[in-house]
Amino acid sequence: MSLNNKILKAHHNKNLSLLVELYQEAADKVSTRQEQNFFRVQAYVYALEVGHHLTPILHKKLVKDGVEE
Amino acid sequence: MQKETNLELVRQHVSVANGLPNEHYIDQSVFDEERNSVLFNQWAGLDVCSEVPEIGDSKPINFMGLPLFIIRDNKNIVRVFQNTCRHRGMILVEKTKKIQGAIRCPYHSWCYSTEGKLISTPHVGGPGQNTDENIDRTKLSLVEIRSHVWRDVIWVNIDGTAEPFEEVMASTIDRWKELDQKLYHGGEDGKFSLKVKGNWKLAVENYCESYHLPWVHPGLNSYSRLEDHYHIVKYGSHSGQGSLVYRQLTDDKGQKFPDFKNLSKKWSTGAEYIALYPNVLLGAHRDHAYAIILLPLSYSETIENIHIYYSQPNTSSSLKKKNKDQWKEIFEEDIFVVEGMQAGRLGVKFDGGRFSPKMDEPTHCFHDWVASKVNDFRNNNHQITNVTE
Ligand code: FES
Ligand SMILES: [Fe+2]
Repeated sequence: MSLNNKILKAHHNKNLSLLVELYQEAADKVSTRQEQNFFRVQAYVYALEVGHHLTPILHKKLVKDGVEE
Repeated sequence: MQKETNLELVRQHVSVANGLPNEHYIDQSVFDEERNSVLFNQWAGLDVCSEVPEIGDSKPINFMGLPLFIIRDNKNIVRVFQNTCRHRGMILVEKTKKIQGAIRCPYHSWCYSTEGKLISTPHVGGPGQNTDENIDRTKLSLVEIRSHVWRDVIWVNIDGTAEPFEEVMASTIDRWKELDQKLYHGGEDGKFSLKVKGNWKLAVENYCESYHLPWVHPGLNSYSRLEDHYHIVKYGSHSGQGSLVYRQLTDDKGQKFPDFKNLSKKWSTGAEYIALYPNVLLGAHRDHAYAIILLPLSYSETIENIHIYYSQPNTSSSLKKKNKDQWKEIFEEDIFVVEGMQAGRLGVKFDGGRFSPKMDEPTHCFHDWVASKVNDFRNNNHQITNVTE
């Protein structure tokens, strides 16, 4: 299954922890900084919602890139 | 148009007073006026803490048209918020659920902490950019509603203008000081709801008085006779009734609920039932207590949420069920009266009715309180608005 389809399926199943992982994977696959941040923000938001253990790490990355406070 | 009812007769001595005019039960504008003058500016009961037992538990509640939610925050404090996102006003908590991390708005995913702080605003500065110089998160926290917890009940002062809870409720708190002990909610065997087609005040009025017991609750009357009851009347605060002949429930094996600790002698066969104005009905006994929260749905419809409490956790579940069934039967017996009085108030020539000077003082006490609060509101020229911060 393509990453895109995996993400759609995870949305459909409301599997938020999986979305955190998949959006990070998506962030690693794109080339521009903006695209990367877009997907990382998606991962971060779902991480916040579920209280994911990676939240602080994602937060740090986003702050470092100047897109989160 | 706002109807201005005449409340002079209500505030007379019980022996000559009339009850609240019909409009207080059947008129939308008076219902709206009461919302602001006797509910939103007082300490009203909203729900109980046991409905959100664990950290992160949240529950939406519509209180007289106002969308609110309660949540047990990360520090174990129960808070009340307006259930409206600070971005485009989306409802945040649509159903009872556990917030694992943050409250994420389902629309554009702005995220709030369980303490109500805005902690992320995804893509607010464009794709991949969560900040914007014009969006100051510290100014966009959720709107918190002033609240206070007593006897597990979450009391709210919506407009924020009331004196502190302990001051307003001082005489009731003092009266029941020895009962101020840890309460254990009966769980599923300790709660039920009733929906009645009647104005919320009729439920209060009926609760206050013992006059109706021999006819409406004949079963109760066989061991709890009219003459075994006394009135509780504190003008300006609360009213109700007490019983001198409370008998503990027993199961087949003769087991009873354990008592609250160190109670004075009066509680060995005593029980008290107090309406704490505006909308909470409390009951207390040596071995259990309950709270009924009245949620007005409209001027002619009310939800009664009943919660029963014990002195210890893990009391016999069959006994709890028996107790719940017994109370449910009694409260259901009262429904036809509340609904009948509602219907009776469509009689345009009804003048608010008279009170028995001997039997109805607790009811008059409540009417007098409502009338005084409505008068204060009018005299201060307050406007009927929705919520003020
Ligand atoms: S309305 Fe809540 S994030 Fe937009
Ligand atoms: Fe009754």
